[in-house]
Amino acid sequence: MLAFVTAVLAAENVHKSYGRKHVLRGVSFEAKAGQLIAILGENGSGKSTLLRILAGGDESDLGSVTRGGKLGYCPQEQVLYPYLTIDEHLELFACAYGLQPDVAKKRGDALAERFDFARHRTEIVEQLSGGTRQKLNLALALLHDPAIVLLDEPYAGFDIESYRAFLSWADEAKAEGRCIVLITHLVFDEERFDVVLRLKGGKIDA
Amino acid sequence: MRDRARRVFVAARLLMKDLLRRRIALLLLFVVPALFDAVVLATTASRQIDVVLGTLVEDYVATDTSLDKLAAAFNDDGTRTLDERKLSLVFLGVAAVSFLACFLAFNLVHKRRDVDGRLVLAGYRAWEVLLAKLVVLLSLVGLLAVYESLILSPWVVPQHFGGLTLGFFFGGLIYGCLGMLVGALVRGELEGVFLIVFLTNIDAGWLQNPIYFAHSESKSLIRALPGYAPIQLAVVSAFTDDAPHGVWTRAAVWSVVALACSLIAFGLRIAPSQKLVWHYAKVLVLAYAIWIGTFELVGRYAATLHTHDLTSALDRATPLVPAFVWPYEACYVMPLVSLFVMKDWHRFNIALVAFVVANLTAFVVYLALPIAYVRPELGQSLPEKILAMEYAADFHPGANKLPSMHVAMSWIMVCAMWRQARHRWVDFVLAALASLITVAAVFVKQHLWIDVIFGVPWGFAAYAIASAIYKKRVSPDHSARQALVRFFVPSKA
Repeated sequence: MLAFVTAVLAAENVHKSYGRKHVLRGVSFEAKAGQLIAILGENGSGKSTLLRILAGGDESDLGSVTRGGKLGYCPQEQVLYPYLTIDEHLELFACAYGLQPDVAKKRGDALAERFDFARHRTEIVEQLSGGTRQKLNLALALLHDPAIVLLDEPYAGFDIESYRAFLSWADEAKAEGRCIVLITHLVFDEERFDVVLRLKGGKIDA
Repeated sequence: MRDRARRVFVAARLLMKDLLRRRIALLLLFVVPALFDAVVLATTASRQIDVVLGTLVEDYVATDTSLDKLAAAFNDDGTRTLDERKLSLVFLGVAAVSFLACFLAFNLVHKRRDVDGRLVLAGYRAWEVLLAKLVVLLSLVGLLAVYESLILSPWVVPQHFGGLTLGFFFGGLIYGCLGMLVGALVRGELEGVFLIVFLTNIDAGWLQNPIYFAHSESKSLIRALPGYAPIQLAVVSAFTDDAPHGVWTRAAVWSVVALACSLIAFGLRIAPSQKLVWHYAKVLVLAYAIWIGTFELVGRYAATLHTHDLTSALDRATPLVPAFVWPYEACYVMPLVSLFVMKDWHRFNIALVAFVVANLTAFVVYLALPIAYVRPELGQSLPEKILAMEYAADFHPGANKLPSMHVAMSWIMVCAMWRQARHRWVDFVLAALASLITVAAVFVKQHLWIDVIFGVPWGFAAYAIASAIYKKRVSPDHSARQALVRFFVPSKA
């Protein structure tokens, strides 16, 4: 169990514009260890922009973000090298996270087994199906066992088995005290989430 | 240190694999150079033609070679006689390597920007990814250069194999860096490919052709282009026994400039913490372009008006000191420095507004009181050559001098950057630099004392006015980026 008892992720008065379009107009919230948080909103409401800012992949124009632990970020698009294999991606990102080779191998094997992509590990991304690419996209965010996990529609393209595998991972990660912030359109599992944040007009709709 | 080297090595190895697994990459690397050579062999006649090898002439003149050697080396009209087919093989060899390196480097950067950014977000340092890309680029360019030299060897037995290969290498390196730069700057793939084809074809594929160069009326322009040094180096090394000293500096300068620009642009592009710097770098380029355009327009018109000579006894007593050209040119670097110093980007916005205020008010004076004066004679040293370019680019008989915008803009940047750097001593270095620029403007004879005496307060006043206007118009709730748009593009609502 991780030792976080207070907020591990906090956004305060986050603003973001693209040209004259004011996408985020003062978003504030806190996320605690062991929480599964959903961010909902219409298309273009700024969900992905918010997650990217939380992940540090973009800068807010105003406001601040505080992160209290290792962070894993799975972007909405499959951001991968098209001519590298799954194993090569795992090697490269393990290097980026500073993992020792034996630890990286253990984590990579566990993720490949859990999300069922072990048989494709030597195939290049170009040859993978959309669903398997998405599994790799997700696995790269989880490889270093982060305390805070930011996932932008992580199961888009998953079959039902993979979706269940994801839910089972989310339950375990939550129980271990990880904080998971998730953008999703699937709200039929609303009771599964500890907090549901609705983005409307660039703000969290209370 | 060993761990960092391992990270760079792992990234370089995998990025190389990612690039070379594309079939088109291997086709480009191994088939296209041979195809270029085959086309030349099939279409070019083996006849003797007279060409001008610019570098050789420069070298002979510079080294005071004896008349006998000059006579042996050149025809009466200063040309040299070479075999057209062999010459075309070498020239197009450099063009082919340049184009391929440019295209491969563009591919190495453009389509991978997002995933490279993800790698940086995951923990790679931006410079580690940059270094890995550079290792890939250098390896490919080296491979291409040696390969091109080898496949030419049945038809061209070079006098200096090393020089020929280095000519190919520099062509690939310079254009490879430019390809990376295009990959970092251009949004769409089609625009990028068009730019690459356009740049390499115009320069390396056309203007640098020694046959074209022999009869060109703008040789100085062609010499200034990136393809000149690599092609001269390759041709001179292939066909003559001379050491082409003149090209090394040009090749080194172009390599360093292209490499620095491409690495800075790509680094800013992939480092998430530098996105605001990247945004303001683009704003700065736009601001420079608008400023140069309007300054030029006003200057050209003012130069047609009745001009006044305000040269004082003090100006006449002030000697020309060419070395001051270095601090004088540093004025253009100050806004670039601010990109890496600025903490409060509202201050950068105020500096931009101050530029507008300073220039618009100065334009009124430029048109009301155009200044003209005679420039001194210049020698052949490097600072004097740079000054000669400054004088040549200026308006004749004169304009846009009182007040000095060079000086005003330097002090505006000092105001904007004051107390922005992490260390206090940076403020004093910047103020010292602005003082040096102020004095340099007079000692390089670009300005009179009266121009700089007005230029300093002009800068301070413009910053103060801009600051007041900006604070009045911009809400403190707006981010700097948002405020800049709102300031210059007011809402219709």
